[in-house]
Amino acid sequence: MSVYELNRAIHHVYVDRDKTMAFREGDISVLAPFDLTDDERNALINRDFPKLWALHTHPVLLFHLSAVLNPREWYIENVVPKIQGVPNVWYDYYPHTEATTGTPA
Amino acid sequence: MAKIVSVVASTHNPRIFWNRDQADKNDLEALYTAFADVRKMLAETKPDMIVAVANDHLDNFFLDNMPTFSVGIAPTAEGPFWYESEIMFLPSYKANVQLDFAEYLLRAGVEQGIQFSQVREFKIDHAFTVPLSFVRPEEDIPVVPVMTNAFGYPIATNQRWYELGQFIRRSIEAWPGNQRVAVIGSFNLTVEVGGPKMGKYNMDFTRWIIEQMKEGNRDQILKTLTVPRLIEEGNSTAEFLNYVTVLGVVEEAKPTFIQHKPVKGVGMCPVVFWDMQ
Repeated sequence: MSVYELNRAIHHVYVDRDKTMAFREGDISVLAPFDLTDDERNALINRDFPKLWALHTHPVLLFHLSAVLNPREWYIENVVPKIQGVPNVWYDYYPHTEATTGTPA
Repeated sequence: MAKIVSVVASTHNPRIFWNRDQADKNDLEALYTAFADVRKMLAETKPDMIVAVANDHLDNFFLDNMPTFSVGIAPTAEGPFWYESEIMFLPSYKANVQLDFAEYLLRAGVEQGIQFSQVREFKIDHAFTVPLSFVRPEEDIPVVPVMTNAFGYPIATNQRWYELGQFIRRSIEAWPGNQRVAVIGSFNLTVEVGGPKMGKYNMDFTRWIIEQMKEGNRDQILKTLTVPRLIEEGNSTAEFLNYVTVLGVVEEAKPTFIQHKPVKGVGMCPVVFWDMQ
């Protein structure tokens, strides 16, 4: 249930502009309605994105949270290298190939 | 009876806007030209209703209640969400909903086995606003928004998405009016969002998909591009399934127009048009 609650908390923050802005300013009361473990709450408060990945945040939700809190390329530069091979129940639902190096342009 | 006069399948790559500052100017200009061409071709078919199919990005829907397909039933369709416009600079769009057709589509779908839900409080996210703002910026044609699920696993098989397209075509052709209808499907090619392969692409796979699209190889696409196979190449590649729904509308017709040149600094931005007159 806690994995779901963590994801619910993240969704709750980024879809609401006021809550996002409050969270950006360090107001952690926006997390109060959610039954999070200490690990989950601390990862959110510390904006520890690799930890949030390891705690099974849905990849799209995690990226959305980064988009509203961090500069555009921050996630690719600071999170993607640290989640290589780290299990995530949403990401691992379907099998994946290894990363390829081709770029579209 | 109503008639499908044109079909558009378009990227909704948000980086067309979000990454505009680092996009190759010539590539971006070529993309804008392609969108302008499609806008003109669409206008020439004189549609008076648009059925738009696009996947929600965990904006309207969350994991507690994730409809496979849903019909938006409200007086207007307006978007995108705050962070899409304020942070990603994505275009806004507001149009009336063709309510009578939306209600008809919902009922017919539910009664004929389509996995429809109804949604009456919604916004249209960038999967709708990006294509619509390029191909019909006038916001003057009523839309029927059909929202799809490409992110909340499990995802319906590609056959279900294809059948959705067939159902949309049949429903339009059975609609007792004389409307001229355009269908717009919003999709992307190989892409990963938030996962460890983000920013990396399997270009051989992407090029293969584009070849099948150019040739109208419906059967090859349905046989090869299953949900697991798509997601194997990127967790958001299931967005291509909206193109599969478009194939259910056009069947094996080859596109009248296709632009698939990547935009350096942005990524793949395919735009496809079928003149159905």
